[in-house]
Amino acid sequence: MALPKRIIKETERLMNEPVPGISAIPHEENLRYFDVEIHGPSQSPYQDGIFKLELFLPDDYPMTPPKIRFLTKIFHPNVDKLGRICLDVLKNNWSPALQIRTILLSIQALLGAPNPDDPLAPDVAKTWKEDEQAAIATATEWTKKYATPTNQTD
Amino acid sequence: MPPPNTPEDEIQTAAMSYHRNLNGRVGPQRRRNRWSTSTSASTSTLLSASASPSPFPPSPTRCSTLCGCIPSIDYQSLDYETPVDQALQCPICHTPFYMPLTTSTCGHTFCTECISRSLETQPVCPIDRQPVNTDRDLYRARVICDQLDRLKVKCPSKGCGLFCTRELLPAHYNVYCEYVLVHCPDPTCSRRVPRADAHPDNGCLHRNIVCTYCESEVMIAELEEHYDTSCYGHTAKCSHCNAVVVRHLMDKHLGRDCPGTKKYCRFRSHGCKMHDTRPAIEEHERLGCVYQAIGELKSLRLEDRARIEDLEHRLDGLDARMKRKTSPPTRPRVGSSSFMGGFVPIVQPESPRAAASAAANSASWGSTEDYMLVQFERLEAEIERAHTMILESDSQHTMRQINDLLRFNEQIYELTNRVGALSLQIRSLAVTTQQHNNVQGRAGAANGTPSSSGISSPGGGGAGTRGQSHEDGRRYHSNPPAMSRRSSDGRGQHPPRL
Amino acid sequence: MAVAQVPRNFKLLAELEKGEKGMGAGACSYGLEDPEDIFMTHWRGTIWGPPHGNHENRIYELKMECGDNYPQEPPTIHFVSQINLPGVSTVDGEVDPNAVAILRDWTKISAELSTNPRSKEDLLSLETALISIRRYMEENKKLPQPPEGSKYPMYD
Repeated sequence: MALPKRIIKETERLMNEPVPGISAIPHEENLRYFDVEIHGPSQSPYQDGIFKLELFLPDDYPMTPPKIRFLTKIFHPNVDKLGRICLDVLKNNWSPALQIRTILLSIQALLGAPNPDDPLAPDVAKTWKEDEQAAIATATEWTKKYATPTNQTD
Repeated sequence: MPPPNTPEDEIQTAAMSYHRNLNGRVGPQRRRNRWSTSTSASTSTLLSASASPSPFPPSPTRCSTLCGCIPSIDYQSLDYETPVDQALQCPICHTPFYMPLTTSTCGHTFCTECISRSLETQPVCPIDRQPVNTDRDLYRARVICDQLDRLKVKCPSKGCGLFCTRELLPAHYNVYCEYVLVHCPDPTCSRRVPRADAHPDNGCLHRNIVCTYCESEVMIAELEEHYDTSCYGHTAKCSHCNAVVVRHLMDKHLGRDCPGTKKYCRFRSHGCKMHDTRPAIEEHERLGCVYQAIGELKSLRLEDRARIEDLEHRLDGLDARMKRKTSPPTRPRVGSSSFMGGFVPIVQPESPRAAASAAANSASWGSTEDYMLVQFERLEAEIERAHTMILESDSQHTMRQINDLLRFNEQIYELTNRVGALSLQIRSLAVTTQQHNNVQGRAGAANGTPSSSGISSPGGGGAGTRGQSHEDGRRYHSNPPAMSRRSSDGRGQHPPRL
Repeated sequence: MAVAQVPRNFKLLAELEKGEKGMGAGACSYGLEDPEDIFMTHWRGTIWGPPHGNHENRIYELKMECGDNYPQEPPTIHFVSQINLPGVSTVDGEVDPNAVAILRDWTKISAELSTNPRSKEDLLSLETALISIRRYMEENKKLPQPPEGSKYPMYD
């Protein structure tokens, strides 16, 4: 299967000049499928957490956005129970000038700045809006429980 | 050459002349002669045609993109001679622009194909999302095109490897590149051949001929590849030393002569780890490999081991024989059960020992030292055992001798006693006879004493005292029993003598 | 250019979205058994009984399991609602893959698609499997059926 030069170039750059706090490693048998790890941003309830994600570059990438979702459980108003992410640049605001690294940076930024007004998980968003302190406490607890390396058994 | 009218024409003719030089330099035509001498004429016409100043393709049979049989160049997958500046790369496909279009609203540049596809989904600039109208807001920036034209690229056809400026690539690829796969000259054949071979005179290249070097059947179109990769009768370049060798001799070359191949030291089996080029290994062996001595020691050790095994075998045989020999004589000796008791336990362990030695043989020894030590101990035990056995049989023998002697002594005593008794009897008999004679021949015989003493003197000499007779019997000189018998036998003879 | 091979999880996500939106043929529906099952292994499906036969106006419940090698390997499918159909276990409702065309040929089609993708249309999915089962039910619509709504004991 011929891989477009753009994907080869992006992968090379991700491996050679990795973004701090982010890693993306392609699967050997499917070079369009990446295992991603994002470190939770500091000063956020996700601090010290390492979140696993999976990313797939569809056939018509970069004309369509990459598909990406969390594999680690996370308490966040813009991430649903199956790890799907509500982020404008992954949907309507995608531009072919964006790249894997810019998208992963956007997701890292989303962790630092949850947007409960555009929720994907309505119950989480509700907690976030009504009692932010409780929501942040839960998010911190989940980070400890599911995203701390020693606890990641699966 | 007609004077160029337009800049495009100029480029075109420049490309033509460039490729003419190319045709003169590299020689696929020469290679083609190998399998078809009939093409030599056409080749020369081809060469002369390409040398002529005509700017048009020399042969009408040469397929190009115009006839639709070769795929167009994929500009996104081209390889460039040097890394291309980021500013000349499309933000969508991340490769140098092909047919760049710039937005008039925000001044961003993309490949025509990339921006068109992006605008299909969203009519905005992919960089800053400014609205873009496909028909109105895009233009081609000349300065960018010029820079792109000067980039050096590699021809995408497999095997070509030519680098040229990007503006010359279409001419080279579409018309001249000898490696581009085009239609087979035979219109009925649907397969493809490199452009160099696609000449009507060649006919269909997808039929088999017999290779002149190795006599196997090969398709004409694959003949070059066959020569280069598999034909065993054809020469090939050694990948290690660049020597040209006939392929079927390559293994021999690599194994024996090639100075470039790495080989192991002759004494690798003895543990030498030297792995280097042939000359280095030869030098190493010439200087003397340490492992040579080690190897000799090893073989000596093996010999020793074989010898030890042989000896052990023989020892086992001897053991068995000894056992057979020593056990029967002990059986008839009824009276010496005490010996049996002492002997049997020593003979009995024979079989476990043999089993142990067999086990020892089958077990692999940690080292020769261990092996030797065990053998030594075993032999020592063997000697010890033999020693005790000798002692046993020695004492046995001595006892037997003493027993025999005792018996003889007893008999001798008995006999001596008897002789004593007999001599007494004889003496008394002699006395009686003498008295009798004296009574009978008092008148006839004047003196009987001398005759009496004549007879009795040997017996009387012996039977003078008891101790004396004992002494005589032991000395055996007088032989009293025989004497007495003779005297008794000669009883009838004596009287006439008397 | 060959079509990119979609990884299992993203294929199942796409199938889930299609199922949630109800873009199917209308005769079948399906969804995750547990909406938090991040690896999307256990699914529930329903088949509206095909008309003009003993299946008419009945709703059949099924459960489906997608292994790690889905979609290279077919899902395992069980009827939860009792049904009288050759190739469906009378004990636990397991559908014998050899009885249903698409399940039988699944690995073959999958291998073919990986080397020579013919269309973007999803030939192999939970939905196509359900539709194929429904077609198979239609072929056997004359068979007498157990009382409506009865389930295999293990699912009661």
